[in-house]
Amino acid sequence: MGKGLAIILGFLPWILIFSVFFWAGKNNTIGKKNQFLIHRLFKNKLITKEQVEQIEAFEKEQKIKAWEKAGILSKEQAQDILYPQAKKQWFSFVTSLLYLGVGCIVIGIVALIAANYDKIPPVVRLTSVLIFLTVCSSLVYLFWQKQKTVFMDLCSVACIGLLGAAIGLVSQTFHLDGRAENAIFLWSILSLPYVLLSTKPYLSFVWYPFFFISFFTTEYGRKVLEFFAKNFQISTAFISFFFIGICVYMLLQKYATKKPFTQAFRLWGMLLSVCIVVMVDSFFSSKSIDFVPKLIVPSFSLLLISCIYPIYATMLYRKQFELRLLMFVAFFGLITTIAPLPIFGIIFTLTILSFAAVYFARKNLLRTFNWAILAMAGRILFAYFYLFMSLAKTGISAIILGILILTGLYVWSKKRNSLIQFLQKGK
Amino acid sequence: MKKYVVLALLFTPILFFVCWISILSTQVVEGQEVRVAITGYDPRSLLSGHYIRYQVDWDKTDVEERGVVSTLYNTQFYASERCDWNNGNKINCRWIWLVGNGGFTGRNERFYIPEENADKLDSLFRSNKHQFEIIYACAKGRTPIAKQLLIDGQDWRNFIKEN
Repeated sequence: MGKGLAIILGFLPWILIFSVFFWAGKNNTIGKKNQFLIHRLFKNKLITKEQVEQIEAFEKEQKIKAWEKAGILSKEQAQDILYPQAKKQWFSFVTSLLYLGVGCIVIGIVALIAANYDKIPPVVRLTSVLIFLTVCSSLVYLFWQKQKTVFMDLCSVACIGLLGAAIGLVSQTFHLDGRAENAIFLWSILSLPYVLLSTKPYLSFVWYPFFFISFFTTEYGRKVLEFFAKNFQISTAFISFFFIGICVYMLLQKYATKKPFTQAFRLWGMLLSVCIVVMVDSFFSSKSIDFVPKLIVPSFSLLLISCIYPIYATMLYRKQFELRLLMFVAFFGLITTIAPLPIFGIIFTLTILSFAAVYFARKNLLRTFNWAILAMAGRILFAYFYLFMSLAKTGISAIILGILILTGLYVWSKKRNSLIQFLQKGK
Repeated sequence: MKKYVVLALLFTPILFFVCWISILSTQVVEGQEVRVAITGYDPRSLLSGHYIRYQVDWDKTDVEERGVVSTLYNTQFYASERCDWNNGNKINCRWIWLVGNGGFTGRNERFYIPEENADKLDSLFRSNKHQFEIIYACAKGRTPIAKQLLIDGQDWRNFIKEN
């Protein structure tokens, strides 16, 4: 098979997936409107979809302006109600930047510790990481009490990062020769309180595989698995444990936090899809395998996953969400396929993610937008290590970058109105 | 959730680290020191930092030091005479020290070094001109903790400064 045909076959599934998503994006908004008359007019094809949207916007604007005129709503409130997407997108963007700032600082601290920065005495290093951890945990408690969930989650992420850094630091200071899986298991156990308190399912989504896989690599975990492997196939035992574990964990989370966590199931569906793509991709990325299957196989496995998802979506009548998942799988698959290439990898990944971020922002798909921004940030941070070629310098620069991002955000949030005025009118 | 439960949950990891660091520090300060010769190491760069991985060379380690390890960890050290034979006569006889259970109750064969010194230490080792040793802090029933890396009897930092 020629390379030309391989490229066509390889990219065909991508084109199909993106086409399906764009098609769905065009057609899935009108069914949500609950205004009977307008809906009926639209059904009978007396008015177009654009006209429906214009009528609804007009009616909403009239009402809000009347309330504003009557002094019931303030000007800002009226703006927020009239343009909720702008506010949501802004909020989503700020949250992403906050996570990026905190992430930079935590990664910087970890890199600095990993560099074994000899100029800082061990006592100071150990004490400072414990102080950071105490301050961060206190902030988590403070924000939990004030019910400021975004800041609470943010501090929880920082705490979890610092716990990892603390484990690394203790191992380094006392020259402990531990296995990485045991360290991850300890890390996952210690970070459980923060995961349980979190209001978002993302933390639990990341936490669970680390806990599960690292548990079965410990001595006790291996014994448990061996015991079951006598009666079952090892893969059956592993998969069974995996899903039993999910159920136990979700129950624990539900009763600990009084929150249902149905989203975790969907996220796990997504994870499994991404895993399949990554595994197939890594398998076919080896040098011994020809270019043709390397391109076609991951693409077709992706197509297979995209066929499973619409079926699942029809069962749940949640098309929009499932199509978002599809998009997720598509661009994560794309990253894993292209990213290992040295220079083109980062350029391509950032370009694709920028387009994806703009597209998601325009479609008001906020979570996917956040993921795109964070994936971009992750890729840039990964490049950082190659740029500086030294863990200590990378660590310091990442901490400075994080502080700059957070300071910039703070200044922006305080001086937002005057800055907008300045930008608009030049005052 | 009640606030005391949340507080307890949040500060458990910190408490864990305080206890862990205290136990390790006590062992480093109060543990019996054992100086052992080491061979075969390579600096690596992982997220946890640059470290050297080595193996204890019991043959080059002093008998006294082996005695301490033997007492602390109930390890079987024994010597056997190995000789080459030439026309039915023993030549080049030497005592080989054999160790049961790897010498300690748990293995600890890693020493973290700063990133900036990794290359220098690597080339020093590869030159095969120097003797590398580790000083362990040992306590009964616990894995030994590497306290100090010595090159030709000197702390590695001083050695690098002078060379």
